[in-house]
Amino acid sequence: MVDKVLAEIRDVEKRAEENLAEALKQAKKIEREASVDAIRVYDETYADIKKRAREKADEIVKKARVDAETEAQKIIAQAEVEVKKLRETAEKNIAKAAEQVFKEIISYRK
Amino acid sequence: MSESHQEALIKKILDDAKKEADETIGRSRKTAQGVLEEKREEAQKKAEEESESLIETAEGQARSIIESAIANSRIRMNWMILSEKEKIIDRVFNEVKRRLGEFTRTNEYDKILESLIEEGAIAAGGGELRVRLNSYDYQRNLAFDRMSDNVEKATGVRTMLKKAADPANTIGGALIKSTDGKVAVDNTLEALIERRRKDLEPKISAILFTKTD
Repeated sequence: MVDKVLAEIRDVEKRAEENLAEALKQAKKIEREASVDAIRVYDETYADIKKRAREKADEIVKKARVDAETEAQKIIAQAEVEVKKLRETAEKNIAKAAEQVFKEIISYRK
Repeated sequence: MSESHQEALIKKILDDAKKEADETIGRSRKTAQGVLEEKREEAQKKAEEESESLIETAEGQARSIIESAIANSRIRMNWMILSEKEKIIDRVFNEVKRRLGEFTRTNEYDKILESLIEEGAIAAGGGELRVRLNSYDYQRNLAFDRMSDNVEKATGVRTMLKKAADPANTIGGALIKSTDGKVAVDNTLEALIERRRKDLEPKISAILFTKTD
């Protein structure tokens, strides 16, 4: 009777040990998979942040090109206004300037 | 050992084993989660550092694009203004040439033409010289003998001024050339204007581009 009980207990202990061994095996598997996952998570996280940064950088440069074109157009428009003013001012004085130069050349020779 | 004690013992052995197994797996899961978090943070830190540098470079590039566009546009603006001023100054010189052309049809011009010929002949050093005039001036009755004497006095070289056979394409003035072709003096009105152009341009600019009203 006692032998039967002890045998049964040993059997249960063996099963318990097997369960523990299985749990250890599973634990190792979890850690092994985590190592592989960690590389993937690293790559994905790194790639995602870099991708967003590249997009932001491209956007900054793209916006700068648009702003540069706007600034350039403003300056050229301002230049056109300046040229127009210059032309209008000069137009009134062309005859006077020509007269002055003409006189200088003639008097220079006399 | 009673049967109930035996069952309790078996249950405890199995429960303890299960508890330990669960704890082992739980610890592993926690460790795995930790590794993942650590790697995620590591990647995030590295990528953010690099991203910061990437953004700084892009911002620098952006500043450079804008500054360069502004600088180029200002250069273009200055060029447009300068180019317009040159065009207007050219118009003044063309107007001066037109007026000089009209002036060459007056008697007052004879004296000036003779002084241009004499001055050119003196600059050429006297001697046997041919004087090229435009076709209109070619018909004028100029005092070549008197001019020759004046040049001879000024240079000390025996001088003989004669009209060249072919007329010159000029609004006025004269081209003086030695008969051997070694010396040539351009005293046309166009040449006179060109020689004085640099001195005249600032004066013209002052008249043209100063607002009077």
